[in-house]
Amino acid sequence: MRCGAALLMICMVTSAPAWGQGTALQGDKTFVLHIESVAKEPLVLRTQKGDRVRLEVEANRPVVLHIHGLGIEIMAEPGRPGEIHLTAKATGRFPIHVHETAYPGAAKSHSHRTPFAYLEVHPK
Amino acid sequence: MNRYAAWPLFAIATGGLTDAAFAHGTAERYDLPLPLGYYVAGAALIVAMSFVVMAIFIYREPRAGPYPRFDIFSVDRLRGPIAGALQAFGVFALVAIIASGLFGNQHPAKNLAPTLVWVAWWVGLGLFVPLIANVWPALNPWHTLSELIDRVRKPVVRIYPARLAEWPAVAALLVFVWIELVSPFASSPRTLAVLALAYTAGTLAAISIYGREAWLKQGEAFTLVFNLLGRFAPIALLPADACDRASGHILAVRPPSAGLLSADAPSNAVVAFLLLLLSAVLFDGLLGTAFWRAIERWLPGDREGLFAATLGLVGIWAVFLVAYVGACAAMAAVTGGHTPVAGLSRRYALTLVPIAVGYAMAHNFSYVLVQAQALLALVSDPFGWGWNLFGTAGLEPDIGIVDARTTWRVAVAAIVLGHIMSVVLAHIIALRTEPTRRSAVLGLMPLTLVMVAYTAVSLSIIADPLVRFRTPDPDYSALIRQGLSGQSATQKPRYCATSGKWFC
Repeated sequence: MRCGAALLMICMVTSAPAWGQGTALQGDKTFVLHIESVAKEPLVLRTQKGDRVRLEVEANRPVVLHIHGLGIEIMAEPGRPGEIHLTAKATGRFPIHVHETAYPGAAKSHSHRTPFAYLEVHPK
Repeated sequence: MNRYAAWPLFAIATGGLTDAAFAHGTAERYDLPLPLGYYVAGAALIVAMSFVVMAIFIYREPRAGPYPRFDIFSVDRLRGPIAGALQAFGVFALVAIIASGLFGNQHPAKNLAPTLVWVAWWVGLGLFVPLIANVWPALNPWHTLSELIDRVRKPVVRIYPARLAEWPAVAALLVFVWIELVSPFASSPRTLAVLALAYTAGTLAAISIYGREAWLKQGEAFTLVFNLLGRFAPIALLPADACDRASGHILAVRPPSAGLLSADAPSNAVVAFLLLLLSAVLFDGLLGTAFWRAIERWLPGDREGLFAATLGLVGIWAVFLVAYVGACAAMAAVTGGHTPVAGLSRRYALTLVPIAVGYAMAHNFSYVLVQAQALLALVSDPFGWGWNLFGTAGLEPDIGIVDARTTWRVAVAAIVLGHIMSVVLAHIIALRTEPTRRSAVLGLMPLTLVMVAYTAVSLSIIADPLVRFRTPDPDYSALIRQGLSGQSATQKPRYCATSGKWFC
């Protein structure tokens, strides 16, 4: 059983013209992750190689997100969301794991078999 | 919006990465699932090529006699120095694994042992041997060490019991793949070192009892693995032809997988061994799939999923064995039962090797290219103590070394080619052994179907989570809809078939 790690929900905002965000560059993507309850299946954040990706993390408790393969960490606490920007350079499917930071040892006990989400970088 | 610096939680990060970078035994994979187009093309090719092969062999007799080969040169003079260098390297690598595992930094990514064992040896050599040549007999450190021991003390050799056959190797392989795929300690450097020491002691003891040749041929699991895979290899050391002036051994090129034909039928134990190897490579991929997560929920679970994964590993082995033996039973029925089922299953067992090699290539191609780069840094700092012996300790693997599209093409090509080779080998054997062409071609249909099934499973694993075996979680999609409505009232969520997720 996976302990406490969790989530849930994601909004994806792209710079598609239909959205009327004329100033955003083509290929910019924003993902907003709300870490609340436990998800059964990993989410998938789809991007394309070369995209500029903004990731916002809002959480109801202190957490740290790891994006494996890219060596990225994002921390978030209630009221203090985390945010990072990255440019997707290599294609691949990079697992994102959530670790609780409030309890010592919690990061270790979290099973790594099922990630919280995947950041997928597809070829153009 | 606050941006948090990474450094305060470095301790937690490394704690997490300890388990993370080495998920089950081997380091993490970053492969994108195969897109729908590649999946459909691969599946269509598998079925179509099975018919094409069958049709060709209805009209064409396979060539009799040995397979074609091209002799490169006689290696009798070179053999000594090359084998000597490989032997020294093999023993050195074993010593390095034990020393760095026992005394080095216990972080799996900072210690040479896990990467050398899982990435370089088990996966890397596991691809090198079938795709190029079987160098394991020379590399095998237990062979070399036992030769050294023999110089000091003459062995008292007992006859290897015939009824043991290759069963000790089956047991050893089962334990080994369980450690690799299921156990939580596969990436622990110290555990690997202790296991390597124990296996070395056991192997040397068995060699001293039954003699080197007998034990390495039948009892030692890794020699058996690499011998089976090595029969697939296009380059081999072959005995010189009788008409040749050269004596001894010749380095020769032969069609890939042709070496699987020349062998005598293996024992029942080798049939079980081979199917365990095939199920283990498939199970490695299966463990990371949504399909497995769906199955896992139905299995009695424990905290780490150890019990479920153990059941899964043994279960997929049992399913593959039943499917294969069932196909052989069907073949016996179709061909009139002049050969018993066990005899047929032994006769065709080696034809499954190309399917296993094809899948291993598809599954591990980018993984080996990415993870083997870590060796460059690790050889400079094998113990993880901050050394920099060759000035390469700071190098980080380039995860973009192969593009996803290249990986997809290689994966589909490897799986389809492996499947074609398996079907061709089975037809050649059938036409050589069955009394009539009709019984050969008809009799092979069940086995061809099982081969299509094995290959379809391997293609589906590579394509996961493209292939959804259940509908998306309804609560989840509802939440997404709710989340999105706040963002844009006009935009409606849309289900994305390729990712199985809701988008807008």
